[in-house]
Amino acid sequence: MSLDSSSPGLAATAATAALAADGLSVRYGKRLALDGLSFTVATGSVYALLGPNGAGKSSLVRCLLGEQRPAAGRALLFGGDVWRERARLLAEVGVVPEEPDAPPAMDAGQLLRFCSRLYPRWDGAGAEKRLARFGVPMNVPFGRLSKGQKGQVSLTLALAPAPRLLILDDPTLGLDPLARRAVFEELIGELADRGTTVFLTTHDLAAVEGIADRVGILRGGKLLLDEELESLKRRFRRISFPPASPSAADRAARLAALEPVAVAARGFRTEAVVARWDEERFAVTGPGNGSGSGDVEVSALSLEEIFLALVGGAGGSGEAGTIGGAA
Amino acid sequence: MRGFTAVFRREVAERRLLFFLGLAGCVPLFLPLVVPSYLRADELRAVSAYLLSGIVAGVLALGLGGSVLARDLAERRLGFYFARPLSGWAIWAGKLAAALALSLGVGALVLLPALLFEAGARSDLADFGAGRVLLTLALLAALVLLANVVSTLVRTRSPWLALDLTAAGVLWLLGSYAAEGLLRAGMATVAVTFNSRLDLPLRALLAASPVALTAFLAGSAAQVLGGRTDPRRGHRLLSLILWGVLLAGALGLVGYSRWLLAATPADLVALGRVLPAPTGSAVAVQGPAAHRGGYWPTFLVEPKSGRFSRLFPASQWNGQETVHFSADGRWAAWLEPQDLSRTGPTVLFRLDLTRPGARPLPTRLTFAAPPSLLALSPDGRRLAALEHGRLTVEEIGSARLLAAVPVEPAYPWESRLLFEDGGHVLYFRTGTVGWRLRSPGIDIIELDVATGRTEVIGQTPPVEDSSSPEVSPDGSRFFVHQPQAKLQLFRTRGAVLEAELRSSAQSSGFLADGRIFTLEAAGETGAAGRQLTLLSPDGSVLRRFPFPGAHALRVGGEPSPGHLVLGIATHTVPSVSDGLEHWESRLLDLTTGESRSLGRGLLPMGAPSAGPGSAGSRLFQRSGGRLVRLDLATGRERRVAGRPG
Repeated sequence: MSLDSSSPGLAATAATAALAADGLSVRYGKRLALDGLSFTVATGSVYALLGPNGAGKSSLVRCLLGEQRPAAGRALLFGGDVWRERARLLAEVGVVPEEPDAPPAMDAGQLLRFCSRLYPRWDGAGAEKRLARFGVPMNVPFGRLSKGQKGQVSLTLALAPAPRLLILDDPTLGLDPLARRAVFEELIGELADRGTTVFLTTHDLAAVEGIADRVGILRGGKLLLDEELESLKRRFRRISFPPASPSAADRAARLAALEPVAVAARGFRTEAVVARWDEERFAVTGPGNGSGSGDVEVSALSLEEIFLALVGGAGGSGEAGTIGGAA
Repeated sequence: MRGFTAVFRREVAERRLLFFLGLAGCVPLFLPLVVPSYLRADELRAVSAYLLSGIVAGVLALGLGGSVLARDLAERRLGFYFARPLSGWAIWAGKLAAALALSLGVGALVLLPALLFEAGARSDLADFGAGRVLLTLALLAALVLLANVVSTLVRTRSPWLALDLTAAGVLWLLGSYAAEGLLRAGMATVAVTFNSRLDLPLRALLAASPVALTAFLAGSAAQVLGGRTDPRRGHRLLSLILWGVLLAGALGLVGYSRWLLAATPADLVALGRVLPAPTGSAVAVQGPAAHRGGYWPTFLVEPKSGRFSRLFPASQWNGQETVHFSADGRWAAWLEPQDLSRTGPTVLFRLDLTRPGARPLPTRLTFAAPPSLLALSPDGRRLAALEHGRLTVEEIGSARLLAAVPVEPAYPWESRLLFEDGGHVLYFRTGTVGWRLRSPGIDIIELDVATGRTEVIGQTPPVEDSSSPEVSPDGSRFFVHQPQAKLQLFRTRGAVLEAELRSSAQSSGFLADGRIFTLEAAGETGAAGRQLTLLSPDGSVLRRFPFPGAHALRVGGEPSPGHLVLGIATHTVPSVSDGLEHWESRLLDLTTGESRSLGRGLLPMGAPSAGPGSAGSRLFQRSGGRLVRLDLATGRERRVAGRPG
């Protein structure tokens, strides 16, 4: 899938997708927070958007909720322009904000009653059970709840209308590990069978790895990557080899064919993360093809390691651009 | 609507404790009150309840208006609403309507006990009327919006705040500039005195209020509907719309006030006051201008050339002329307010009528309040003024005080002040001083400017309470009307009674040379037939001129020696200005008694004392409020003021 601009193909996909960005740009003065972003989230999938702080994730979420007008392009929910039809489209969307923003004077019961009047469907009993399960008191003002309780109230308010799409903006930010796990288990447990589409931004990469179907990595307002998680994990590998051997320069040159995104010296060895792992090609062109091949070690990478290699590693420190492209 | 209701209910429910404030607010009304002697306890309770209710409602409108939206936006809580299926309109309107309803509801709650238990309060409310209730509602809504807008501008901490401050400064300048024009046109006086010219400030208010309300309403709505949770974008939209509408409105108001003041004599639709100079052709004209909401401009017009000057004289409350001419016809002088609110000091302005192109210039003479009486010396170089029990004479050019003496002031409507010559001032003081009758007659006080001494040079026998002396142009004689159709003519010096005429005079006056005329009915009251009687300066009858078919007569001055301009109503006319087509002007030969017609539909407008040297004897009113100068030899008319016919 092409990621760098809107196209007729993307427009067609966007019209049927649960969520899409079509050439989306957001500008704050001279600074470009989102730069012509285009991607789609298929109905029923779980999409995790990753990115360092300041990458433009919050701007993107605000655009997707129709809170911010893009400088160019469109944000689409269920094929509709969310800036123009926000109130109608959000009737099918549950939202968990980055910072719990419910009115501090209202207690959970009041919040449930208020929101129940706004949605066409509302599972009030389920919501109350859910809050009880997590020990959230119904009559304590929202402002006095703990951070974890606030997060649970926000998630409850997002789930109660049985939304077709759930947008979660870093929902575990500031939560302890137990609370974080509870949030993601909830998502897996409750949404897996419903076919609800989930769009999630998070820094909790380990948790995402267990639930996401597709991953996008945003940096500097551009998508570095937008790919099925399985495919992503298949093509990224870490290759370690001794650098001091006579053929080291030759090996490094051969790595180029595997698209190294990060190369670093680790003690007496050189480690490279490659974005185009191919066992056959590696056998022919990789650093293991030659003398001392027994020294070469190849290992799979976690999502967090891939993310760090792309965003935090040497390969990721260059100018933002598209990496890979397999969909 | 469902969204609006949900937001509205939520906002009200969140602040429901305010209703307890309302209940607490009415408690003081039931405490024992210290009641002033001039008020009854129930009246005091009713007044206090209304006052407290108004204060509570106003404070809440400002407080809630400033917090319901702006605080949520600043604390990034507005996203809670925008993440729900709620339209921007429902969020904006629901929150502001709740603020309005809360301030109104709590205010009403404060008032409720008084309405239940005090009959006076109920009748006050009934007197208040539905219109004023709506006005109160609009005022509260305006307070909510104002607080909302100001709070948003301040809380968003956007760099646009600098632009807001600049725009506010520009708005202030434009508003001041426009207000200056409206104040010069007498808006403040009109507003304070509630006279029939209230139309003008009402128009300005009617035009400005909806514009301001629209600006706040549209700006506030755009900030939420267009800016949503983006404070900077919201601020930008708010500023653009708010200042755009307000500045456009202010420019419109500036244009209106400039246009208002740009009225010319040709815009007058009626003649309110026409005052010709005793010598020369200048004439001061005042009247309502077309389409200008009751604005009565004053002009000094030179009929021959058509040149005119706009005057902004201080309002006259005492029946005195607004413009004073020197006897030689060179100078016109008048008072203008120094402070445009017209509550501060007044400045003497003057214009040299002999210099073509001269402009009105302020002199160095100022008065804390408009003097009750003013007089200009025959050469126009000195000014006599009666103010605060002091008679002063000052040299206008140098502002040098030539004389100042204390005098007991009298009712200015019935008193007169004039220069006998350059060195002596005559003050005809009637008996009423303050609100009591001091003396039943008229005192004639002479001030010698050189010595600064005053002397009572005459004191008349008792005169009718409301009689005011009619003084001859040279000040040597005066007469008063007495009961039983008696007209008494006095010589000024010594107040010597020279003649007592049995006269049913309806009108009388002095001609330029000191002769006297009286106009009276010739037959039965109400029937046609009028008579003009000409008397010598000492009161002997010179000749009677009967006009058998006349229903009314009017003397217009003496354009040439021995000839008098007369207006004759050939039908019954309800007032002078009505039915102009029934008036015919004639030139009466005082020697032969013959007269020739000057034209029909012409009414003489000059003063009877306008002599051959004054253009006043040639001024006439045509229908449509036009003032024309008639060439008596050729019959050619030149329009001085009024719209083209």
